[in-house]
Amino acid sequence: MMAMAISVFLASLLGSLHCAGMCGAFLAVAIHAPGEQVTARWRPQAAYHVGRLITYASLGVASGAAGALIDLGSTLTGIGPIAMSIAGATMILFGLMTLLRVLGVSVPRFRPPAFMQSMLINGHQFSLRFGTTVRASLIGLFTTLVPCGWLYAFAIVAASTSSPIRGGLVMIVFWAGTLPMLVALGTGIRSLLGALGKHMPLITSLTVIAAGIYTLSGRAMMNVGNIIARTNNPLIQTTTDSAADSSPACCAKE
Amino acid sequence: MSAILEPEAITRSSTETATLCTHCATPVPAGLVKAGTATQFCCEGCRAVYQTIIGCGLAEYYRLRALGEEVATPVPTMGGTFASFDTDAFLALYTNRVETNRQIEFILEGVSCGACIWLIEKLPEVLPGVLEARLNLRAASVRVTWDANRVKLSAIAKLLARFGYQPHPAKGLDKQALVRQQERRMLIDIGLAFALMGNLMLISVALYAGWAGNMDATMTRFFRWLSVLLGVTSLAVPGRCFFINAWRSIRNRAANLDLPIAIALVAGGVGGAMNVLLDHAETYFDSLSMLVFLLLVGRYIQNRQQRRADAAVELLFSMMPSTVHVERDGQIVDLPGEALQVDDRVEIRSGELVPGDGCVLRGESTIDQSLLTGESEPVEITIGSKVFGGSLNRGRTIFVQLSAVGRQTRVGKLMELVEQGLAEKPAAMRFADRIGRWFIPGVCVAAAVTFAIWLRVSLSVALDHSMAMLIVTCPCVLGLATPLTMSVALGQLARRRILVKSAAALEQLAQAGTIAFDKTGTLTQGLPSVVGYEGDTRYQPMIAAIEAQVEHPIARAIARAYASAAINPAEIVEVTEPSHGGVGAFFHGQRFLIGSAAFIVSQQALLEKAPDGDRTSVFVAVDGNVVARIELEDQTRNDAGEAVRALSEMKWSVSMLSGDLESVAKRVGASVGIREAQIFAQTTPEEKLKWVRNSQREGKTVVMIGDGVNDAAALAAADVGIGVRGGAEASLAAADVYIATPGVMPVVDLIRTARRTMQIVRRNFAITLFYNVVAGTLAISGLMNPLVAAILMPLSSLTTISFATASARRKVGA
Repeated sequence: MMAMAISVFLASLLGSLHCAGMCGAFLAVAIHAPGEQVTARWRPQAAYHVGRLITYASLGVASGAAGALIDLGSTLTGIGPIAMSIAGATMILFGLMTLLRVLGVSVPRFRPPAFMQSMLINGHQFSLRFGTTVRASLIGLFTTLVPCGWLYAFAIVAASTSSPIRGGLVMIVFWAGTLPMLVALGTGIRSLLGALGKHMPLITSLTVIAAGIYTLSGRAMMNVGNIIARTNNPLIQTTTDSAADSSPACCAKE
Repeated sequence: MSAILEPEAITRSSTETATLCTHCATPVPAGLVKAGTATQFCCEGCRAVYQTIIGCGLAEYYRLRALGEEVATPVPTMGGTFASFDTDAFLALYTNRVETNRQIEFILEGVSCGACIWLIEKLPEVLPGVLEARLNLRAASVRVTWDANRVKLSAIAKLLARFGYQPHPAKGLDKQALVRQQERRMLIDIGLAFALMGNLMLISVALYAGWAGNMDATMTRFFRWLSVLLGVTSLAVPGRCFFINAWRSIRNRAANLDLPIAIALVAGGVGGAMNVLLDHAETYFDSLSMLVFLLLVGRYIQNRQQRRADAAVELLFSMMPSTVHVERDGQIVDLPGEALQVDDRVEIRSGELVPGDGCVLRGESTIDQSLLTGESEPVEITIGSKVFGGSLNRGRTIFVQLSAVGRQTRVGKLMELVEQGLAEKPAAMRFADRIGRWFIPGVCVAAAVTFAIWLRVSLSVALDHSMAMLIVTCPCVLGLATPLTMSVALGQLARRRILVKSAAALEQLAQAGTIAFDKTGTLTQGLPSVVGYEGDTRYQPMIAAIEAQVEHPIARAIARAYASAAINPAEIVEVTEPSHGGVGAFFHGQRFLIGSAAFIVSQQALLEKAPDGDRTSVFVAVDGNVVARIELEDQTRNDAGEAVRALSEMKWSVSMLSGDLESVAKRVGASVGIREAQIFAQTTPEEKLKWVRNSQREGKTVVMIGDGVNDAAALAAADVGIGVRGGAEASLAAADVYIATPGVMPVVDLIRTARRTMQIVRRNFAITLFYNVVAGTLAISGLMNPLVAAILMPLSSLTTISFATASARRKVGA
């Protein structure tokens, strides 16, 4: 799990340049609405990030639970745990699509459901009625509703853990990775992006593909473990393994 | 909005080698670039954020970002020290000097129940230097009088905040904003309670499913502990208001509704946590979090309903404009009404309310001051005329120099009289208070009994049933619905310009008794009007033109009756009023005399027939010969007959007390349908008083309706005195009710409202009694579940409050 956490953190740190560009607007509005005078900046900053943390962690828990549910379902049907495989494949697909777009190929887009957009707008409008700290925390909470591919790539990683707790932890680590860049937003995103900025789409697509392959390989190793377990007690061990060892091979018990 | 952004996007696209995202300014992958589109996005996330920013009307963000504008400098906040309260500027703006002391009105956050009165009004004992603290529960405001030499205002504010009531100076405060702020906080609590409840439900489902499907023991334990964590959060964060209020009630030794709820929540919480610790039985936290959620939702709806009712009452106090046009350094500036000071010069435009008492400096207009005087006709005003706060400018713009503002104005004093009256508790409310004092302790005992009975079965069952008992019982009608019903009725009446000084008057008016009307100005118009003309009608236009130049009620009535455009006022010359009682003038060389018989005779005109009967006669003489006789009469009000009939149908015995001649009194009485035996003519004020006392001795409720000044003694002596004319202050000083609406039907309206109000109060008592007996029995016999209780309790509150506010929505007589 530690190796996975470090990987997620580094990937998140790298990709947070994108987060800063995208969510910087929300952070700006969270800290001070147009025409509003600012008091202490650290408090709304903290509130915004705590808000994000809550929903990110919730998303992680939900994704982990969904992964666990998928594994449970697939195991019950005799296929065996497949959440990690699906997660890895999805990430590779997602990365490849981004890569193709970088290369100029027009790939059909995934359109998020309209209700998400209206929820996002309504949520922000609602939050604008409040004072700075409450508003910042609400905007932080609503950030998870942004259909951000980068964020949801990590939600898929969280799902691949097949555990609500590990899923939650993945997203907490992801959140921690985005912190340095978002906190440093005041210095200006353009200067932060620098020469790297031009290649951001390429970097993110490759990172996601790499993460997908990494996840798939973990699944593969996991499956080996399962096969060994099944040979001992196919009926009970499968269920137990899926609950206790549903982590990638890198953090599986040796 | 997009028009603002398009050029920016295009510029970027053209100056950079790659197309930049309209939102985050990072390169857009080539496969995502859309030709011919002004806005380009690198991903769906950026598109969503962009649409959100625009959707929220925050397009300015992009402009500011481009400009790299710096954030505005911080402003100091009040913080928790209230140090700014001691500054001269604050004291000058928000406080009044009362003799050698100072007085301020604070709006308090968190005032929720009668027990708050006890605590807040203890301020003088707790903090030396505070002389008086009077809480207005309905307005959530406290008026504090203190000796500035002995204690600082900041210390008072700090103490109030420590008590749990965050103070805000009432003047200049947007009360609506405060209400909205509280409402938002409540909504956040509800949202949080819902989220926690949802999560706890999921955990519970997982646990139940886990038990059925042999969930791993570690996982089960984890989920149980997680439910403790979420459950405790639910109790401690959104549910904190129940504990805070319960704690206050314990500190004040005055139990309130939140006490049993808090006991139930604590009992459930401790029981659940113990079960988790000992690793057996249910955790309860799913039920507890749902309980918190349901109770909060119930309370939110209840508060909204109550606020709506309060708004009806507050209309009474909205007789002053909220914004005024004041002259400051030669410029007219708009300021809040509270900022006005004595000697300020204000501009009052057509259709605006006069913001204070004062004197007209410039301009001429007509103003409606019916609220103060009961006079339905607008009054002409000119330079030097006095105007009063609360009057309505119906004519042109005027400039007024103010001599009294705020509570020092006539209308301000009037409001104070009404406020004092509202503070007096009628019998129904005193009864409710008495029961309320025993209700909560009674409920706690009943819960203890329930617990003891069911403990023989199991601890969890005993906890369940006693929790249900604590939650389901509701003394709402006692603490809330009765005063609310009364307040709504008074507010509703105020909206119809019927000011009731005492809520007790409503109780009295609800039972039929004897009602006595004064004649002049009450049953009659109080103004003469032309009812007959005998003589040559060719003279009517000339008569009207001459009378139009005379300021007298009779002359005005005649001018109104025969007004004609045929005569040019310039043709009327040498208008003279040689003595009281008539007028003389020339028209095309003819000398006209118009006036009483005595006037005509005194002017040596020939009067063949002297006036007779009970009507006022005005004679017209032309060149010494009487050519016409005009008869005038103080006519009965159009709705007087209908009102007397309606009152009789409501079993009221209707009488008339008049100082006039018997013939006049009988004619008026007969015309409105009052029985001859009930008509008392030529009565002096002393005789009226005697009549009231005699009727009271017969054990009847006696209502006297009359002129606020002439009938003051009888009005004050009657069980309910109703003033209908004259100054509102005088009426409310002598009577319990002042009706500023012309006519007699408002009396019927008042009595119907009183009847309905008391019906609602009684109905609410019955509902509460029935509800509590049934719900309590179900809880003690183990047939009530805490969740059902949590739904039923706010439902019962809502029912009673809906009944209370129903009167506000329903029209009288409908």
